Amino acid sequence: MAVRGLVAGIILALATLAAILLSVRYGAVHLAAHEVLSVLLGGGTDTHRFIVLELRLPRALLGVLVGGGLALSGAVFQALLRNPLAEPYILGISGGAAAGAVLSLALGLTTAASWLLPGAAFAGALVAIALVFGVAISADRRLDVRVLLLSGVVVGAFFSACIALILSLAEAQTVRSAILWMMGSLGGVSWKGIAIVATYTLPACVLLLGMARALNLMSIGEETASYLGTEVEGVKRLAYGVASLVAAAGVAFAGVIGFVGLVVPHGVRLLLGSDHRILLPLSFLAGAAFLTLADLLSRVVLAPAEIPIGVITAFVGVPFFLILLRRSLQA
Amino acid sequence: MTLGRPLPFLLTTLLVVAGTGCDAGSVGDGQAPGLDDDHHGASSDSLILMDQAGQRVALDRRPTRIVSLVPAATEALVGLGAGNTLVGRTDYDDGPELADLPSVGGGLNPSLERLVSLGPELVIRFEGEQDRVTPRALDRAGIPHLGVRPDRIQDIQEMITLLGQALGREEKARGLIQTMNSDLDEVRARVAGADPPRVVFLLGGDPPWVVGPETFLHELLEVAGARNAMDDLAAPLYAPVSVEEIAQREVDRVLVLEGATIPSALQQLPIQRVRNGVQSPGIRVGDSARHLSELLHPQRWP
Amino acid sequence: MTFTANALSVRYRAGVRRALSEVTMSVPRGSLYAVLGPNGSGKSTLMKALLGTVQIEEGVAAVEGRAVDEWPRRELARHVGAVSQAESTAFPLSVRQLVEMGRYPYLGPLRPMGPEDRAAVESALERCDVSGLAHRQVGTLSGGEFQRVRIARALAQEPSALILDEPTASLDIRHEMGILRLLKRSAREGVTVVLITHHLNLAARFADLLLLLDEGRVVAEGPVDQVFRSEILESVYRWPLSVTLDPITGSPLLIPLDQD
Repeated sequence: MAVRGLVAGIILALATLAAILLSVRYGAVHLAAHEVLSVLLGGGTDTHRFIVLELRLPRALLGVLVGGGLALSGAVFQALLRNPLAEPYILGISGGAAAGAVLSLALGLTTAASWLLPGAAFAGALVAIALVFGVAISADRRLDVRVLLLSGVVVGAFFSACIALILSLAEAQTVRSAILWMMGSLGGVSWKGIAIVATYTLPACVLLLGMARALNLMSIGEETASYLGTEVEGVKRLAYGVASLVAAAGVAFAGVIGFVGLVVPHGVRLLLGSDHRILLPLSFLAGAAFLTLADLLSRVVLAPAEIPIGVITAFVGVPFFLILLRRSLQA
Repeated sequence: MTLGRPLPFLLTTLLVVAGTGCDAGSVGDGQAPGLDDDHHGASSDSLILMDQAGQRVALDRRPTRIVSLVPAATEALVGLGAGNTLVGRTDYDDGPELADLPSVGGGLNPSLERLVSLGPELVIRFEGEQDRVTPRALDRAGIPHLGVRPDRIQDIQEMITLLGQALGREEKARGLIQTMNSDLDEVRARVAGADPPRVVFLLGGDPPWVVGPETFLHELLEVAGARNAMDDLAAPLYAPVSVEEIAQREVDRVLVLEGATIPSALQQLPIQRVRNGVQSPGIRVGDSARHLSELLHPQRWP
Repeated sequence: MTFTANALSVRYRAGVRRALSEVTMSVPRGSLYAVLGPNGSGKSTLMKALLGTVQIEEGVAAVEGRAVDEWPRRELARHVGAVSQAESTAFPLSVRQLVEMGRYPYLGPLRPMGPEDRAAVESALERCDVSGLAHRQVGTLSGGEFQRVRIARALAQEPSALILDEPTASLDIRHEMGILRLLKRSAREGVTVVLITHHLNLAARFADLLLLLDEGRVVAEGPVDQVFRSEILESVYRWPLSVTLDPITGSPLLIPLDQD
């Protein structure tokens, strides 16, 4: 199993690299391979350099960070909640982030500075997390799974209502912008944005990878995990906190991209099993490659228009996942 | 109620504050758009303009390659005789003379790759919260851009003046504005003294989007001898309004854009269809005012 | 390892009455100590209290003389192997992967399994007669097979004490006897075994000491022949019983009578 994991890991790492290179090579404007290559080697015309280094490359890297982060945090949530239907947004994070973003769009705050939209979305996500965990902790000192799930649903519904209210009172174009944001997009990110997302995502992901064995134990039950040496409450707080942060950072910069956090860990699990020491890093790589490629498709299929990336992740991911599922049931 | 995880929150606050810093782009400082007289460049061709977003924009030379993301501004550029400087269009520019130009997609959130690869020396864009990405990308690419905001008639005229200055065709711009004003005055004169009907102007949708008080369409209604029944709309530009709200305003006429669908409940009201094009805040608003006036006061236009 | 409780009381959050009331008991090192009692008498709660997975209202639960909440979890897990009543896995796992988790208290987050760890796992699989199932997915096992796998995991911890809650509930005679003999041998070798069970006769046959609970209180504690008496057991189980001597094994034998 370890050998299979290593081989799969190498394949996925190469796939991620390929996804980045393809994303840089192709786009709404046709660039020849040698033109792209000359840019990567330091030359090329100003226009080509701008397109490749300022538009395509940051976007590809955002796909890697967000796709990897969502898949990894999805796997962590599935282990903590012991529920295969768990995904990063299950605790209301997407609702909070969307409410923050929509509010800032409706109030026209985004005009003032470029970081206000992701900042507001991130703040909204934090409010949602605080609410959900606050409710769970006040009910019972521990973070009980059922209470968390229920609060997540309720808090999510609350934020949906807030969003509906704001949109019903807002201007036409604000509504359109809000809906487009909520459908998710990797566009418009600058290198500064990449630095911020990387600062949140990469250390958090390394931390979560280190919790792989603890998550193996948590996924078979909290009581048993405790008997096998886990400080259950401490692990829960750290894992929930860090995984939520990763998901929140992803949503803040890329909107609500569904499907990746739910299905990628499942797919990896079907192929390689539930040992989190393999599942977590491979989910990250698979999510990174998947989202980056989905973004590439979203940009070129109907160029110059862009299909919202959530549409691509669903249209491509669903059949792929169903094939995997059939294969595993037949095995 | 302790949350037990102060560290992530602390980290968050620190990083949000530290990692963002001051972004490029100064907010408007209240000056009117136009030529910035204090900062004439050394060469007679270079100039500095103040756009309708309150930004100072420097142009090294008269632009010969322009992309306009605002159809009304495109129309104005053509009217100023600069149609041959256009190197791209949006999907919403449907005039036959523009059909051969490559499209960059929508006017808001256009394809940045296509836009940049057209090599424009100037981009005209719509200033609003809906698209903050395009101005920032253009800044990073070093492409000058003018933000326009043709909300009211005065804004439309400022836009024409601004474009005229950018092209060095201030005379022509003044002429277009003069024509516009005299057209509007003529319409006002025709309907002077006529009883203004209470009108609501629907742009379509369910619930229907109506014209609010701070728009040029509202001003055109007044010029055309009507009263906008929705002049106290909380959202000043365009907003959806419930059918009951419209019904209770005791409206005399309902103006609807040609081709727009409206809720069946409103079909019993006296509806008049307005020809397509009236909704464009461009150089032809004088014609639009006349058209509206002809619909509302046909007896004044024999 | 020794386990002691002193005036231990536990109340669950939603509980009107206490699950355990002033329980005082003591498990000597290397004994096979059976905990008996009707449903709801607090047997499982006692296990959780001794292992620190339930909140104590009053009193003390101690392992090797040290209060259980002062034990770091990993250290405790190196000494005590615990098998709770039931467990379900949400995700696919192989038997070997599940049993290998018994070595986690020694490995921490990063250290890979070494030869001693693998040997401990193999030995545990063999002693529970599940070596042949090592590559099977846990979800495909029968109830009894799963139970033996979980016991194997506890053995893989190489503990100096075992606490098991109804470990033979789903097992057939052969496997039940196998497990009980294994537990007895372990006790002889110095491992302290606490066994919660419904099987009164097997408890009487294999245990050194018995603890009888009823409605959260201690009714009796002591050697088998002192506790395993019809008048004591009848008062707790509220059913007419007769206790005789099993002619073949020589252990006390309980026979439930007809209620007339």
